This record gives sequence, structure tokens and C-alpha cells, in this order.
Amino acid sequence: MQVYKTFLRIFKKQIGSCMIYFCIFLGLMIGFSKMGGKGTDKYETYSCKLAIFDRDNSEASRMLTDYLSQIHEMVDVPDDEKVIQNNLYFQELDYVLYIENGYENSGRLTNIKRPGSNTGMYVDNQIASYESSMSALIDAGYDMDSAYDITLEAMSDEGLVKVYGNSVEKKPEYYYFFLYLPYVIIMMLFDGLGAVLIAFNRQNVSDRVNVSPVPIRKRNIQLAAGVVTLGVGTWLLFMILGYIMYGAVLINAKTIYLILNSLVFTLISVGIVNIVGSFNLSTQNIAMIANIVGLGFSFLGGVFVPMSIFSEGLKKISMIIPTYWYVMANDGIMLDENIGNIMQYIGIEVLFAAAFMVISMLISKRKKLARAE
Amino acid sequence: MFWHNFKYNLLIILRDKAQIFWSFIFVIALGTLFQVTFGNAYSKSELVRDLDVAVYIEDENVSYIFDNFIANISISGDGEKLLNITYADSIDEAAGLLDDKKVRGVFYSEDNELKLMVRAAGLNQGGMDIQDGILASVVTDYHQIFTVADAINKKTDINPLSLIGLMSSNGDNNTEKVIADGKMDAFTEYFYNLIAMGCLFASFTGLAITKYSQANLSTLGARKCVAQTSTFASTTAALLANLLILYICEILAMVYLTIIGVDFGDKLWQMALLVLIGTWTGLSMGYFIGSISKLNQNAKEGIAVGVSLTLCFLSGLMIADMKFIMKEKCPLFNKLNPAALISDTFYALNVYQENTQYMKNILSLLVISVVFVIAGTLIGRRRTYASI
Repeated sequence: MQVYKTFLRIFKKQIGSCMIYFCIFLGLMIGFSKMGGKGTDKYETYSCKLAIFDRDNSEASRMLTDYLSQIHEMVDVPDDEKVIQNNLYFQELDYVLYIENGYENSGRLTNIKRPGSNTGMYVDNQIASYESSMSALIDAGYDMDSAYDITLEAMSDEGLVKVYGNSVEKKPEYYYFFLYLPYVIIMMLFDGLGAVLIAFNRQNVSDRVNVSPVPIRKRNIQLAAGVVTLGVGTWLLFMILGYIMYGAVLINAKTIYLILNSLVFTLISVGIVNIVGSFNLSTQNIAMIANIVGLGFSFLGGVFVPMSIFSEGLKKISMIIPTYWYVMANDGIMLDENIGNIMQYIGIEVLFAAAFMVISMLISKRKKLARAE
Repeated sequence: MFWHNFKYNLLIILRDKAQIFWSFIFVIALGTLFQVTFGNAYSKSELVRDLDVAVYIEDENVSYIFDNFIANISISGDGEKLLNITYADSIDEAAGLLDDKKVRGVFYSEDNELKLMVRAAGLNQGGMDIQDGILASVVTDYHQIFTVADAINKKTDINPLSLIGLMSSNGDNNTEKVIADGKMDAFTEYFYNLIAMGCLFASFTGLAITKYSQANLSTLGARKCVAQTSTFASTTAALLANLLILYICEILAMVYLTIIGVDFGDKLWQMALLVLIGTWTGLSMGYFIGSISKLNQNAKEGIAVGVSLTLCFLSGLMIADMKFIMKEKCPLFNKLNPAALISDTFYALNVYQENTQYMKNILSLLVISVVFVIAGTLIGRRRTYASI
């Protein structure tokens, strides 16, 4: 067990830097635990983030405010251009409406929005429709209250929009846990496992071990045991963390597949780190590769940014990245997709893991042969 | 002696491939990745017009009125085409187009009414999106005309069809006020943070400077300690030489990103000054980390990588929402986080018309870097060793 023990001893020295990524992940989870997007199989009127400044304070202005606040989320911001600008930029606000003094007679309004934006156009259109409906009804002889009631009924989209396909009620908190897991697992394994593999593959160390009385087969088995311990250990650590954070909610029919998916992805990460670790690289070089692979996989695979913003061409390119299939499987599980599809995504991940393992074995075999010559 | 040291420090950093990688190659690699991934995301999610829709309307009356109606609203207020219509032969064909994601929605008729069918929201999309909302407003507008027309018919004899023109008010009395000329693309934040990351990665060379100036960390440090050149002169030369090269790396990376389509704005001189001070802050942070303890070089490198990455992460490099979360939960932190300060300064340059915020942030960065340099120098000075 000498090799196995040495393996773990080297890893112990790396625990500190591995913890950096662990803490980043914890921070991420705490930050995102309060965020749950709405997904629904029932159409709800699209709601923008709106701020209204009523400078007229008349019956008509109050009606307009009331109408818009029934559809949109009202945001409380001070009437300060800089604050409004910041909020518009960070999409904490979509539209600001100033109901100008004398609106009841002149109908004068001023708005601030992201120039050319869809949200701006959407609210503009709603206000214009409201105004035209109100003025047509008042011209026809209705009083304001009746005109308002008819307008509300006329502009309701209740029963007019149907949703096609499956969706979920709300993204559970653990969705984010599993979504961001690939980045942390890749980075932690590069940092911990990568450092140990480099130490073992350093030319003089490797030559020294080769001439020692420990048989090569025994050495390889112990090394493999070390790799498995670290890989599975890292994965287990996160599963325990998940259980601590979310409790029994994490154990249900859906999450079993999420857990399986994350385990398969851990094997992929182990395979990648094994390939990189087979080369005689410095710790710094490993860090470079880790960052490129970790961030590259996370951005291109749809971990950090949703795939819905990808172009069709980019989606095709993303298919060669394992995180793409990981995210597909995760989303499929959450959306109650056909189990066959989910297993197909996970199966593709298994193929990736197997391919990476075979490549790493081939590299080390070729290196051994080259050295023997 | 200063220039002699300066020249050799230039040579040292130019031969340091790892540092060139972090400050230049890594920035352009990640920048390319960002540009490929979400270079057009803002225009795709926020500015897109010409929405693909399928239409299958069985009811002849609805179909006739819908065609008239659609001719009126198919051009949005800004003169761009709003809908790109495909006519389907059956509802199943239309639903198939929706399922295959070839169209965003299907207009169809049911009980003599125009209706819309949209896809269920994907998980990562956060509910119905704005494009669904725009399509729903087409149906609502259509429905509104008839409800209002019915109500008007009860009072007067106006022909309902003439209302189609009357109802499509263009909102002339709702004036748009433009408060800034700058861009509104929140995805640019990723690029601002990327440059901030490049600046903070200068901390790795800041570490190397302390390594080569402290006798207990390197043989070169030991040699320097017994040399006649003052530590102040050699450290200043090293810091400035590193600053020069890293600054050039950052500027070249920005030039590259601009060439591939990233829009950093047109305030070039202010940006050049910002990157200079940002790089200096990163360098001084590394210098401080290198001076604070007697840890070995690997541990210090680990701390520098961890601190830089954590600061960038909290400033929104990986997930843009992080900066907003920090602003809400711990606003003071963003005012002290050099990465957030650098990206905020880029933002201020591109969005605000006056320079107050820019100057404030530049001053904050300068104060942070001066604190790092003074603290690093005070800790590292006059060290003596009984034996090494």
C-alpha cells in the first residue's frame, strides 16, 4: 500500500487550494439558493419590471398606474437618472413611466427604457392599446369607470394563450447545486488529483518507482485505487454537502438520476485530469489548463449561461463538450423528459468518460514504450 | 543602477511564459470563448424582431379579420418587421413546427376566437420570456378590438371594422427620454470582468518580485540582499518593469477583443488609464501577498490565484448576477473589491455622461494599491537572517 499511501500524502498537501474551489461553490450555492425562476405549464402574462412616477395624480393617472401594476412587477426606485440607468443596465428595471402633469387632458407621458428593447416595445404597446381603448370608449359615451372596466376585460389574455409541452412549477434550489457542480468538480480534481499525478509522472520519480521492488502491476493498481478514491471522494463530499444544504428533499425519484448524472460527470473529469496528468507538466501549467478547461466547459456547455442564448451553430459545437450532455440530462430530468432520452444523454457521458480513460491509458503506454526504447 | 535593474526585470518577465499566458493568452482565449458564447446574446434576447410564427386558422371569418389585422401590426413601432409568418395546413403541422423549435408560437382559431400556443418555458429560461409576451399581446390586441367594438356598438352605430385603424394607436403621446448614449448590453459585463481578471493576475508577478528580493525565498534574493543597490531602487525597478510589460499585454488583449467584436466604448484614454491603474493594483496586491508571511512560494501562489479568482467571481466573471447579489447583500465589499471596481469603472465610462464615478473608482483603486505597496514594503524591509 506504499504507493497508495504516498498518493494520499501528496494530496493532503493540496487540500488547502482545493478548498478555495469548495468555498467558491458554497458561496455560489448560498447566493443562488434564494433564486428560483418561474417555469410553468400555464401561461401567465409576461411581466416586466416597471417604475411609475405619477406627476399628475389624477383619476386617469391612477387608473393607468393601477392597470400597469396588475400586469407588471412594480419596482421602487428613486427618481434619479443614475440609479435608473444602473437598474436598467443590470435588468433590475425594464421601463420607467412618467405620467406628466396634466395627463388627464393632454395624455402626455414620458418613458425611459433600454433603447430598442423588446421589453420597451412590449410596454409601449400595452400603454398605447390601453390609451386607445379608453379614448374610444369615452368618446362613445362611457364614463371613466365603465371605460376602465371594459378596457381591463378587453386587454385580458385569460384563456387566449395555451402552453405546449412540459415544464416545471418552479426550479428547486438543488437545481443550481447540480447545475454548477461540473465547474467545481473539474477545478477541484485538476487541483488535487492533477498535482498528485504530476508528482508521480515526474521523470525522475517515475524512473525511481520503476526500478523499485514494487511490481508495476501492483503499483498501477494502487495508483488507480488512489485516483478512484480522490474522484469518488470529491463526488461524495458534494453529495454530503447537498444533503446538509437541502436535507431529505434531495432524495426522491428525480434526484437519483441527478446524482447518477453527477457521478458519471465526475468520471469524465477524472479521465480528463488523467490525460493532462500523464504529461510531464509543471503545477502552473496544470493550473492554466484547468482554468481553460473548467471555464471553457462551463461556458460552452451551458453551465454558466443558459443554452437558450446560444446560436444554432454554437449549439452544434457544444455537443462535443461533455458538460453539454450533463446539462441536457439535468434539464431533461427536471422537465420530466422521457427516461430513454435522459439515459441516452447519460450514456453519451459514459462514452466520453470511457474515451478519456482509454486515451490516458494509451498515452501512458506510449510514454513507457518511448522510454524503454 | 535603476535602469540596469529595470532592463533585466524586463528581460525576466518577457521570458516568463506563465505570466504572459495569464495576462495575455488566457485573457484572449477566455475573451474569444465569451464572444462566441454570448457575443450576440443581448441582441438575440432583447432586440430581436421578426419573430417566427405559424398560423393555422380554420374559421374563415377569423382568418379574414386576422389577415387584415396582421397587415396593420406586422411592422413594429420602430419600422422593423415584427412577425415572420408560416402558414400551416393543419394544427398538427403547426404544433410540430413549435415542437421542433422552428417557430416561437402558433396562432390558431378556437370557438371563433384567435388563440396562441407557445412552448413551455425551458428550465434555464426563467418562465415565459418577452417574445412569448409580444406574441400574446398580438392576440390580446385582436381580442381587445372586438370587446371594445361590442361595447361601442351598444352606445353608437360605428362600424367595428373601422375601429381596427382607430385602435392601432401608435402611442405618439408617450415620448421616450434617452438618458445615456452608452450601451445597455449587460453581457459586456463579462468582458469588463475579464479585463479586471487580467489586471488582478498581475499579482502573480508581484509575488515573483518579492521572491527575488527576499533572501529566504531564492538565491537571487540572497544575492540581492548583500548587494550594494538599495532594496528600494531594485524593487521599484522591478515593479515598474513588470507593470510596463503586463500593461502592454492587457492593452494588446483589449485590442484583440475589440477586433473580434467586443465594444468597450470610445473613451480610449480613460480606459488606457484605468487598465494601467488596474494592472498596478494587481501587481501591488501580489507584492503584498508575497511580503505578508513566511509561507513557501507555492502556498503564496495558491493564495494569489485563490484571492484573484474569488474577487473576480464575486465581481461577476463566472455568473454576472453575482455582482448584483453582492451589491444587495454586502455593498461595502464591492467598493473594496478591485475586480468589481475595475469592471464598474468600465461600466461608468460607457454609460454615464460625466466622469465623477470614474474618478471616484480610479481614486479607490489608487488608494488600495498604495496601501498594498506601503504595507508590503513595511513588512518586508530590514529583514535580517542569522542563517538561510
